[in-house]
Amino acid sequence: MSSYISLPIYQTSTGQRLRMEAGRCTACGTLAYPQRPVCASCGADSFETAALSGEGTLYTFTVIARGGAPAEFDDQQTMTGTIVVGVVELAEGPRIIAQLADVDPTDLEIGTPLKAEIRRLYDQEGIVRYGTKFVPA
Amino acid sequence: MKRVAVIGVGQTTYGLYPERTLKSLFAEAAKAAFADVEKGIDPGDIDEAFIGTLSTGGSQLGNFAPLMLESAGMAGVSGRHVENACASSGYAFRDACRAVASGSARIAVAGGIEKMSDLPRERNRSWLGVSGDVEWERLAGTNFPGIYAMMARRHMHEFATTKAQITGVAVKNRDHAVANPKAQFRKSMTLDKALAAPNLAAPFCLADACGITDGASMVILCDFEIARDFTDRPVEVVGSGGGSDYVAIHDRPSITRLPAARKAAREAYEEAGIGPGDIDLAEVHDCFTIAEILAYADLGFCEEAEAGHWVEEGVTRLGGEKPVNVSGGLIGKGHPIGATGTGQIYELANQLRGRADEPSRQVANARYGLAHNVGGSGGSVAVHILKAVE
Amino acid sequence: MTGQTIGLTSYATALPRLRIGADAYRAAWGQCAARGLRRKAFCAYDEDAVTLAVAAARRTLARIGAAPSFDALFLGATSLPYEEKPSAATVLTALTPRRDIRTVELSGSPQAGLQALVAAWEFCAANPGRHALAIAADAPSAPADAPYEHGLGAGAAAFLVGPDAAVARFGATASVSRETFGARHRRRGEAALADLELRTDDVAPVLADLTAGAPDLIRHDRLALGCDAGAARKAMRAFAATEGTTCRPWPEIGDAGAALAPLALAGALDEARDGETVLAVAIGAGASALRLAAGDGLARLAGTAPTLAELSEGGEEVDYIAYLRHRRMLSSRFGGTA
Repeated sequence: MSSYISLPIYQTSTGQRLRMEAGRCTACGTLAYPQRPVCASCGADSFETAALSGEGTLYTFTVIARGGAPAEFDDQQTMTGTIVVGVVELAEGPRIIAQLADVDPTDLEIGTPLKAEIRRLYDQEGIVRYGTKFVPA
Repeated sequence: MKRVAVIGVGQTTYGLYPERTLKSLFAEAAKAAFADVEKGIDPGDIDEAFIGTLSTGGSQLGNFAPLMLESAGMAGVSGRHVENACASSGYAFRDACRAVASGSARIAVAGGIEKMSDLPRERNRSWLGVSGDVEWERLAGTNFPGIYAMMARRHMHEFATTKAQITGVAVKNRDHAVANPKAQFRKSMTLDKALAAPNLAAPFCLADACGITDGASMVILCDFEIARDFTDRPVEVVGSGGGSDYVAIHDRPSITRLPAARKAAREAYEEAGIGPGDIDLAEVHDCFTIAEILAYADLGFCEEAEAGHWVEEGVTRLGGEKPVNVSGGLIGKGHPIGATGTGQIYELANQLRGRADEPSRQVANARYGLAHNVGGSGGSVAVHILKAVE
Repeated sequence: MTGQTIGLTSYATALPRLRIGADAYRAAWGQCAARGLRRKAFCAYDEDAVTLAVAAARRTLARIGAAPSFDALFLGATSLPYEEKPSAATVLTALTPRRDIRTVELSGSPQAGLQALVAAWEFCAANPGRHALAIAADAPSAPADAPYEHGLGAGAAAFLVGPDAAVARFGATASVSRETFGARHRRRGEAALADLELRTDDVAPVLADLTAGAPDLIRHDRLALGCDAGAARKAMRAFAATEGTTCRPWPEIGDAGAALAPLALAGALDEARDGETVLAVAIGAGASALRLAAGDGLARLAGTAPTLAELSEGGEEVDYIAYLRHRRMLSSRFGGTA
């Protein structure tokens, strides 16, 4: 497989994935989530950690038909059908793409309030990867 | 800066060829391009080659360009692999134009190739989803259609664009492809049938997406001063623009426009000294229906809220005021990812020479043609403007 | 551990959202072998003991508005994904950026959850001024065609333990060990429980030992039982308990393994009044008992998190095929993985 998240990359990102840690630019205060090397606003490259609340609203979403999701989610899709994916506008400003869980997509609309929850994303190479999904608040 | 001429174009018929090799596909496109140079050209005279592909067929990771070059009778030519997802060969073309324009190459070649049909289903899905920000977009469980579907949902929310208008792009482009002998899908599709197709990534159904395609294309360029040594019918490249953007859609302030496309278009228009109103036909990047809707505004043809209406009213049909994707576009003609960009140049060059494959597809009095080639969900965009030469 | 007051500052529970009824088993198999089970909670495809542990712990801390401040984490569970690679570290990563916190995993039997709570108490007694988080989380599994699969459920309970024991103070603890042969066991490397379903009574002797060895301990105002309906009947007789003062969640949420007794404890605390004695008992390969005295802090917690009864009554009931799919019991790739 030529494209997947390596374990070292996954490991580095667990603070962002499990504790929703953003980076606050020490020069201009802009929040970066996910974190990035250089501030998108002012170009500075120094950040301090700022954990986000996990609350947000739905900015947009889609429903991935069975068989369509990346291979890591193939078993989940085979077993449980469609996957709902959305971009969540977090209360603090940044947006993040994430899977939505425990939700009937017909109940969703742009603006639906959501909150973050830890869920099991997938198993690969014998290692479990956990991450954040969003559920209706 | 030198002026840049296109002196030969060639491509394979787009389709699915699991048993063909990368080498034989590329060789076929190259052969067609060389044959298109009616006064003949010696491959040994090519100074630089730029070959685009996303996946190298899933196997040939290193030295991909030299392998393609030797397959096409160009062993020895200086070449390199260019990658910007679906804009790979659009960028290969940009690089070739700039090499010629700068004088560092007298004759250059830009091409592209993609083989998408020879991997087992699971591995195929692995790399198909890679042109987003893999760390975040992939782990959210989305595929590529899902990303554009989310953009479509915002467009409907912000501009009251309707699903029927969006899917109308596919109906138009499938109609256009019927008469294109190089196209993968040559059967029309009614709007009702398209709207009733199975869900792909809501609100997209299968009809809103391009398919899986194998194909190759190649373009030969040279300093305009020597073009007539090779052909009596060159086409001039009068504008080239490029841009990039945040790859993940959650990092963009708006997902109903592609800033990279706007920048690339602005640069191309400026260099060409023309505006959107001067464009007689455009080959735009309709990997999904909404992508063409976005293109109308990104290229300055109309406002965002008008784009859906343009489709509904047939403004962008062959015979309409602003024909878009008369080749069938990515949805009708096919989307062999790495080959699409130079495939668009193939179509424009033929149209601007008055030699569209199949005369019924010819856009009358075509003077300026625009190619709009997007990588992924807009992370990279190349725009080119070509002009007919009297 | 006398001379110090250690107890609970906060507690909370987490149940998965999905439910399946005993009648779904009757439809599938002709009977529900878990006698007395009405319905149970179970993990969706993307849930497991770890996600439940995090949910319960976050709720525990959020309901008192606390930024995580604890120096040890005790995790009691029998169905974590790894035998080596501590899931407690994953849970910790989800709760706090601090790395200097002791993490201990307890497993081996349904007593592991209460054992984690007792261990947290002992940690705090040995480290005056410090707090510990005790979490019990479990989602045991068994082969689809095993009758003892019918009762297996899932859930988690978390407790913030320390010297500010306004919610409840620890009183006493006792335990009885019993080597069982054939009942509820799981060999290393196996994800699914095995049970030879012998006629040996592993409950009555344990209760007898417990009541004989610690007669003062078992006096209670409220009883919290982590065991199935059959064992509960015996326990209530042995402790002279009434239905009205007993919290025994098994008929509604199923066998949540090491989390069942802590869930029952949380359910009892939801109902308890200042000054009442609560006795929590976990039965399985012996028994663990823990007595607490409810405090005036309980009233302040009311309304800040759902009660066990509310969570239990809620949820979405699905059919047996959906149950098998979510629990990966139909997966050729991941079936049999914890």
